[in-house]
Amino acid sequence: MGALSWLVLLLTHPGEFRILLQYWLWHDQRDVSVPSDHANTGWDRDTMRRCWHFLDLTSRSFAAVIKQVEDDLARVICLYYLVLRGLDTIEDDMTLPDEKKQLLLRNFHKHTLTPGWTFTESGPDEGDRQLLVEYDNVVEELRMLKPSYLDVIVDITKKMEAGMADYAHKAQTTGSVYLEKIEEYDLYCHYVAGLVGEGLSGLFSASGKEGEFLASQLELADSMGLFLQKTNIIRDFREDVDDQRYFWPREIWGDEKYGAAVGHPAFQEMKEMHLAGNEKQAEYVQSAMILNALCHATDSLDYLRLLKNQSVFNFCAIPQTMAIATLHLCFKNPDMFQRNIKIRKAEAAQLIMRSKNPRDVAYIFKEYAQKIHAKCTADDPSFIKIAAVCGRIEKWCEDQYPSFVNMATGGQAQTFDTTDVRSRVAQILDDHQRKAWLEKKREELLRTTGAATTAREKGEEATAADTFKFVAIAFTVVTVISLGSVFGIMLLLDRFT
Amino acid sequence: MPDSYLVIGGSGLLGGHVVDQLVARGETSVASFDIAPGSFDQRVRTFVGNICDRAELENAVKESGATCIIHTASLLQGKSKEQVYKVNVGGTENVVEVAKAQHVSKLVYTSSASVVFAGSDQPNVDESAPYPAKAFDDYNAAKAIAEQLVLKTNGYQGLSTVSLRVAGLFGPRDRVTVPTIMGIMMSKRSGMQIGDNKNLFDWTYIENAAQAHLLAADRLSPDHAKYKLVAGEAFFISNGEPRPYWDFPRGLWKAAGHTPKKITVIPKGIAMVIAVIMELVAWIRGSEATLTRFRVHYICLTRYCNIDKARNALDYHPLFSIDEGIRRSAEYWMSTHPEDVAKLRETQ
Repeated sequence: MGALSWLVLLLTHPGEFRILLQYWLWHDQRDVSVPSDHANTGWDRDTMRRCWHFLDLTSRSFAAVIKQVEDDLARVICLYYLVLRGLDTIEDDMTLPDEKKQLLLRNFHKHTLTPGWTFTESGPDEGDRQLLVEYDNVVEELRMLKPSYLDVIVDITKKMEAGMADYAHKAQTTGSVYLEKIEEYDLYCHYVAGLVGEGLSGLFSASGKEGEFLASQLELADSMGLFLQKTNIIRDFREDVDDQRYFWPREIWGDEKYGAAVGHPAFQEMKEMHLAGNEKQAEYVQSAMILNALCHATDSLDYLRLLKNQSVFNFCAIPQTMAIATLHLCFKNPDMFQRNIKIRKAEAAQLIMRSKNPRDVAYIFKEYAQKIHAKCTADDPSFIKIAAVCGRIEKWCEDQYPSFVNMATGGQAQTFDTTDVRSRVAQILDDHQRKAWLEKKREELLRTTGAATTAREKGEEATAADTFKFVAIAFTVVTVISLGSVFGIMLLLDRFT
Repeated sequence: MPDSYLVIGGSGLLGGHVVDQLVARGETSVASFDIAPGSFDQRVRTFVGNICDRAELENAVKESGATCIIHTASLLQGKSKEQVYKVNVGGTENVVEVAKAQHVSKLVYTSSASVVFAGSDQPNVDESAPYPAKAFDDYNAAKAIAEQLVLKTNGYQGLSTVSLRVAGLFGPRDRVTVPTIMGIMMSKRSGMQIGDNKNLFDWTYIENAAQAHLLAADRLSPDHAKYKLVAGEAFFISNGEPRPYWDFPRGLWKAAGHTPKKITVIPKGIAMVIAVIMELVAWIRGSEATLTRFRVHYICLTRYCNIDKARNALDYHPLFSIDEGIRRSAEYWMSTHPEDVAKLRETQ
């Protein structure tokens, strides 16, 4: 942003100006070129520098998020991302004939480990064709990864290439352009996004920054990916339709109930949704698509609760809060059918700054769910279901982070809202736990005196008197033994000299 | 030996559905006891009597050979304190005494989610919540006393008891909730919203509530694997799908074919002022106010429960979503109110 646009912002949106200024002041970015960090970032190698460059090229904002992940994990995720990007570039390429594409896709997990492998036949319009032209850099770097990382990357590549090849084959041979069933839509999203989540979980576990169990949370990881992918698919409606890419399932947009609600027949083609006169029906389809995406929200929150590393948490949480904000932006927004819409910069900055722990993230979800619900009107065929899914998000918050607990701030302990009945129960539990903790501490203290242990082994309660008795006996025993041995040694010395 | 069932309050909304489900699953011995005669399947033995009369009740239990009593009868809000206590506490006392005397082995009691309600917000409340020191009203006080009486009796000479705290019942044959909400629509007040509609509220579709009673009854057999988790326990029962308060009536109106054209939102504070004025006017005229401060307060409350305990111990998983429940309830209402439906179609 230039100085002028800062000034304009200050005058037109002072609140946003403040947020962006705070963000700019307080939010550090990791510089991967710093020499002390080279062991992690690999910046000292030409090949890795090239990889960082490609990451910046594909998406600057996403690159920044990746770089923030701690230690070497940022580099591993960078490479993982480039592999998938390479695969995606081949899948997207309409200039490649089916037979060629099939072979390329289905063997990509081998190519990606073949030293010197590059691909120069991408169509001239492919944005990331240069990545494939210089793919040998990625191969080189991948081969340096430790096996536990590489196994995850290769495993996901195998699964994803098979899925993509199937879809590409179907599209290019049958001429069917639409996804029919919601199941197909879910499966497609699984291949392109759910698997990404699965692989990331595997990498987090392999890094030791997260528990081993995380790698096996496949359903939750899948939901993380689906929530993001579906949000993008919804938001990018116009761009995709103009490019004749159709990801919305016909089971939703072609459902006659959305037509019936306005006295029209069901949509026959996706592009009808952006035509004048179809606004209301398109809005109902849009609600149904957003409802479908919102069904993954509580799974995402479940996943985020499992994380323990702060940098991994931020990496996972920020895209999720952006997604729910984007869904709110799209909900009942006719502009979405006409042009590319985006959440405002300040809103995004605020979300990044707030997405720091699972409780705050859950409350962000709740806020947006309430806003979405507030925009929903009873004429919408998805009305009741949207209320239910928003209610579910709110109930999730109450289950995991109940509102009667006021968080600890400024050195103060947490407090309970006394008007809430749950407080009384929590207070009793809290006291109980505190007592149990004190009791444990007392026992630990007694155990360090050693004597108490013997007493407990006999199954007796170690009282102060007992302890004293034991100490006295132990003292006597030790004294007697030492005196005895001194006497013995002197006796021996006496005899042999 | 299969149980012999006596449903007290079998002509009521919940009792009727419990009877239906018992018959539907092939129980051979099902009887109903109610102050009002109802219409039942011919396989159901009907006893007409008052639970406040111990002799009448005892006779029904003896005659039907009941081994399992499902006590759903209750006097709802709006009656005098004396009446409410007489039926809800005294009546339940009779049920418990007769069950003891007649060696009944199971007693399932229909309680209310509001037994722990103290008048303020209650998000996600579960069974660990204590009874309030001061009950919100006579009905809640009476229900709480009766519930404790029933639970205390558990274990007395082979009698096992359980209490189900149902929340916001609605469904076909409903004479309270659905007609009241439809009444608002018919008097053209559906476009008014009091409060910001962010407060979540809990409802239970009647067939789900009835199913919970059957599940609870089955688990009161001492040889059932979940017996220990159920006997002597209280459970919250709802649809487990809390949603903002106004969405429920709007869903019902919509299912009946009416969508308010425009929603006028009246903030809670202003609604309170209006309520005071309306109460004053009503007081002067000696009539009943359509909007009271109590109503406003109640509408703006967050109230829903956590049904995890019932999910785990009773294996209660609501068969019908609220969505489906609303559809069925509206259908029933439309079939029984043809004039209203015709009037609605005219004005739409």
